[in-house]
Amino acid sequence: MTDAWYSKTNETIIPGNPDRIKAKWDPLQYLNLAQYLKVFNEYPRDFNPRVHGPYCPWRYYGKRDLSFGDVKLADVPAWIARRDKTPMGVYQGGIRTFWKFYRAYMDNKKPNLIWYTQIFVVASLFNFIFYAIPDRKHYKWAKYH
Amino acid sequence: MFTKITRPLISNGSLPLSFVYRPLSISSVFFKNTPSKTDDKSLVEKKTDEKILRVEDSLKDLSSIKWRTEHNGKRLWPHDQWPERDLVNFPPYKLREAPNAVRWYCVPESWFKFFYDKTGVTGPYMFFYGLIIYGFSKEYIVLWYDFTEYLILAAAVITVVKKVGPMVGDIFRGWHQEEVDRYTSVVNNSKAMAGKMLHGYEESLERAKSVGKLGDARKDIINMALETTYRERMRTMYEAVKRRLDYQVALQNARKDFERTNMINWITSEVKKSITAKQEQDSLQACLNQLRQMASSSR
Repeated sequence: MTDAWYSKTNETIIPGNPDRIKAKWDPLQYLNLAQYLKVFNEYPRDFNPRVHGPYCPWRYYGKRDLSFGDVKLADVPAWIARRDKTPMGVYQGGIRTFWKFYRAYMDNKKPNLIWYTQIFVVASLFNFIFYAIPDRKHYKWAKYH
Repeated sequence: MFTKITRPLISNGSLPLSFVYRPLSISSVFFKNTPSKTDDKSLVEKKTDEKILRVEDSLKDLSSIKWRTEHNGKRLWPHDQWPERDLVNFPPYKLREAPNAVRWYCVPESWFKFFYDKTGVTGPYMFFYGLIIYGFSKEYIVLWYDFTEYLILAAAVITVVKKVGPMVGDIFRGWHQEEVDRYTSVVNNSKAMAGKMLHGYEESLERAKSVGKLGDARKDIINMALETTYRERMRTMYEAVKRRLDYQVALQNARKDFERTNMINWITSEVKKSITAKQEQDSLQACLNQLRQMASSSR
């Protein structure tokens, strides 16, 4: 009949109608930031679900290449040249690194706090190298080493 | 009061206005884009509005997915629609059992394996110790008075983590496992209950099989009882007949006995009565003469 504020058709009042559900699960969703992040929220171009199955963010879906440990020292510049150095490639590499870290230390049945200690150690090293050493240069016992 | 009466009429369209009333609540902000009212009197079917995506539209999108029936000359079935799937290089996802191994709580084992071919087992150890020594020698690590605190702190932290770490991890994992069990126990308990009920049903089926045997046993019992009663009654009958016959026999014997004793007593009493005194003396003299004879002959 009418879709006024006091009367609705049967279709609209069926519970679970997604067109009428105006509430969001998380307050942050109201900002609708996904519209600005559409560039980052896409699958890589080489990903084909028919061949690769469900998407695993820790995997590289491009052409297979040697890992840095297996490449010889003479071929290192060529290896670096083959890498995808665009911003999108760098971003995807960073995402893959994070997901590899997550899968190595957090995504298992017996997690522990070694991921926390690793981050702690790296942060401590960064602080030591760039802030503590300059602060302690004043307290050196010898001038020339 | 006036608005309570006029608002429905205005929304209905029976009371057209040249201006717009201020909305009562903010819900009108959300319902602004709902479709406009339709004419009730029209008999034409209501056309679906383009803005609102209804269930039929999503079904319409799904209908564009077509199941493939052939690939490379091979028949494709509905349950097997992905012949290009590479399971060797891209295996399906599996949850890992344990995190990667780590030495000194921060250095991964893969680094040790990488350097094993080139430096052996002690390579990474020498590298890190060498780094520390390099830091001391070039005074990147200044040995000032707070160095003892850092040493003791390191020792204390390491001992505490070694002693307390596994226990704390187990406690947290236990809490997590309890929460998970609250979900999984539902299904497991219903499975167990179903199993118990099935076991009960199986037992009752077995009992049903033995009902025939039970009937035969009852028949045997009844037959045995019948035999017992038959034999008892036969015995009582025999005893009754025997009693009666014994009575007759005893009666005859008693009669004979009485007759014999009576006859004997009568005969003896009569004989005793018939013995006179003269006969008695004569018999006595005869016995004495016999005795004298015997005495004289034996001497």
